[in-house]
Amino acid sequence: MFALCDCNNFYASCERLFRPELASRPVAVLSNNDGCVIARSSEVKALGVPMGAPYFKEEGRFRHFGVEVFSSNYPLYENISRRVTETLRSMVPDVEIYSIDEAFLHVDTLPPAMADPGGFCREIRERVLRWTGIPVSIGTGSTKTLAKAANRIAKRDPACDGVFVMPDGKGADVHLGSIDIGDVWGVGFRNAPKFRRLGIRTAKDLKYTDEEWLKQRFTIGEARTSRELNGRICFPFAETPKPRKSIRVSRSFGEPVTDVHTLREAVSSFAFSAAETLRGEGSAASKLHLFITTNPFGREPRYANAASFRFDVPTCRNTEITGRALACLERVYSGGYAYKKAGVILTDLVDASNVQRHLYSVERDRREETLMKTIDRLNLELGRGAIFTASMGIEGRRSWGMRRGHVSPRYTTHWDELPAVLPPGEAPKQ
Amino acid sequence: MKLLVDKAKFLKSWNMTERSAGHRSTISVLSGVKCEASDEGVFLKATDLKTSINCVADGVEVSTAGSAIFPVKIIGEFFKKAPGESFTIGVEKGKATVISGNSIYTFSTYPVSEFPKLPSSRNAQPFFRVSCGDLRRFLDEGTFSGSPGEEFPQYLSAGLIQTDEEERVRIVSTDGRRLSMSQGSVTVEGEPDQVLLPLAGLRELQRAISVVETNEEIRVLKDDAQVYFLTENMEFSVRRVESRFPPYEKVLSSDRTSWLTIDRELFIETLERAEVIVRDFSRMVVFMISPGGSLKIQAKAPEVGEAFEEIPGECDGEPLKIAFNVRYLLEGLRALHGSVAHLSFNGPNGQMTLSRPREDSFMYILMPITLPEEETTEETQ
Repeated sequence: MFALCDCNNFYASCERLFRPELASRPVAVLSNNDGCVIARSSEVKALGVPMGAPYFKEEGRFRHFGVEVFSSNYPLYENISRRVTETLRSMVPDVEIYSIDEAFLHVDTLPPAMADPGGFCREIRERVLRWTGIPVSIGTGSTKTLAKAANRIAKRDPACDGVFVMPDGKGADVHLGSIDIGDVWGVGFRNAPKFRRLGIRTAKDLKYTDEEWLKQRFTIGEARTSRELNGRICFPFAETPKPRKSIRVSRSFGEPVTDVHTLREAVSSFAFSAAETLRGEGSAASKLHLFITTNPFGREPRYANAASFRFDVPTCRNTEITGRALACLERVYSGGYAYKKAGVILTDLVDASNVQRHLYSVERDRREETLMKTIDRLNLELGRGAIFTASMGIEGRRSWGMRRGHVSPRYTTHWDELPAVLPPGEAPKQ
Repeated sequence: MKLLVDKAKFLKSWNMTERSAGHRSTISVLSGVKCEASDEGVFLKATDLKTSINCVADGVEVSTAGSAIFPVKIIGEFFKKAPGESFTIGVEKGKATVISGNSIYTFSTYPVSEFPKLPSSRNAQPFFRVSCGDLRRFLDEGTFSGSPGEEFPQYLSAGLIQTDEEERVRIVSTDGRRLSMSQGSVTVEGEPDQVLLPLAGLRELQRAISVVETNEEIRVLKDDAQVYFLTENMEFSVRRVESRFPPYEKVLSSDRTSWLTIDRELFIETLERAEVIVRDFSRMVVFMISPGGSLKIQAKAPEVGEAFEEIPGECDGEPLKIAFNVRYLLEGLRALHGSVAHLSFNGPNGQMTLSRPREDSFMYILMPITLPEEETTEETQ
């Protein structure tokens, strides 16, 4: 049996965590550069604000209804997500992290879960809320797709109180009949219209559709989803996440960038961050791609270009990755444009401990490996940005940064921004 | 132009020529084969602008001289499917009529004036002479390490042909991770020299000479732009690559710490089995070599499984644990002509050299995959 634990309005819940006064007030979280609404508390949902709505269109409405708006604060969300996962692991040893706010739990081997799945899930829910302050919903089913459907019901039906156990066999039909085909895991909004045209409108319809018929009209993926709705496992539990195929670090700039010096700083930062992620996963990259682009919607002259570089020997070192990214930038940069976005993408990733050696490459300095490890350790212990390359420029003077007008403090990851507990009447030290 | 064609004989020459046509070219006339008929005989010509072929057509009797360009895709297919053992081809006003028994087919041809002038060896300098069988071996063993798909640097998609004063020719290719070199005695003509040719062109040459008799001599000539390979009935030219080949002599080191002699077929079979486990993962196989013992091979992939094999071989030198890309290794072993393979190693981070025992006519140098330091220092027994 699978259980899917999904944090309710995760980003909004994280923002409320250290601001208890927001508990019953509407909260919205914006995407990078304060562009679109990417998380809404239930109060904001009730106002009819759609997911992904552009902020500039909703700003007036938000002000009118007193919606508390936040810029996205990923260091906080990642930290809280880790705490939620650790709490889940304290009760269920096998946890598959599916996304920052969702995890599959493998509960087959746990007698209390098998004896009373609903009661066990309620216990998990209570512990996560008590230990981390994050409300979660849990749905269980004999397959991942059924668990996902159960979670949807747990979240939407107040009578479920955040937990729903999907019955097996025909018992599930009444519930699956209430789930629109577009909301079934693995179908998505792109395929949903085609399903509807063919008379498949709900999860239950898909469950009883002939597999061969599905394979002919769709792909094996849709046939597997149908199998899963029938209780046959096609997507097994995978505790070890599959290694990534690529790492992309790109940003839209808060203000257009017109000079190559600033662009170099931005590209260096992206390369540094990508290399850091690469080392964190124990991987090395064989290929680097760099792109720069002006605003495709603006009235200014447009320009976009990209360049690639293949490393003779796959690497995860800042020095090589930043150096090559900057060399690629020199190849594609053209003056006289206002650049809106740039990015570094590392592809053809391999395991860093098993790298194919090259006949003509110079033997790498082993000390550089120690240097990378030291940089990573210092940035982990002292906070991100404690050590950085000079080509990234000085923090606080970087003009290319994202627009983040409503960002909350890094409550859990930065010494200077930790929340302080003070006796009544005492003012915090400045 | 009017020709009486003996189908079986003609198709041999046709098949050899049509491969060199520029099937993927945007210039449509390149996807045709030019047929020139005169009192001197019938010649079939094709080019993709990188390679060209000019070949004497067998089994053709000329009734009326002339020339025409036949589109390979349509007329070529009909030649193969034509009923009976012979047929006639007549070309008039750009239309070709093929009559075979009771079948009469008419096709459009390409305008003759649009066909490019093919390079000619008339003013080329002699380079060397070699038997077809030897050239086939040099190409088989020497060109597989390159990477034909790579655009840059150019040497990756090219093979080096080099002659020396000791009347030898070497064919070398590399993609940076491995290098293959085949060499042997030839009759060197003129000063020793070297040329760089595209691998795609060399592959075409391999196909073109695959139907030539093993003992037939091939004359190789060169000029500033092309290298020509001449047999009695065919002239095949390949456009040279203007690039520098890396200093490959530097990696032909004789340093070794461990070595192994092993049955080639058995080794290939074992590696093919191990490849099943790792082909969708790292493609890495680990060798454990113990002096006086056998060769142990290990391959593992998470969520797939693990392989362990032990095969007999003559191992000597220092104990060694080393990892390689199994696909690269298999390519080297498959290219090696012979029943026994000799492998020498230069420590866990140094190159591996594959050759025939006590011979230097073929060398395949492959760099290993790094293993974590703690793994290489583990006991190999």
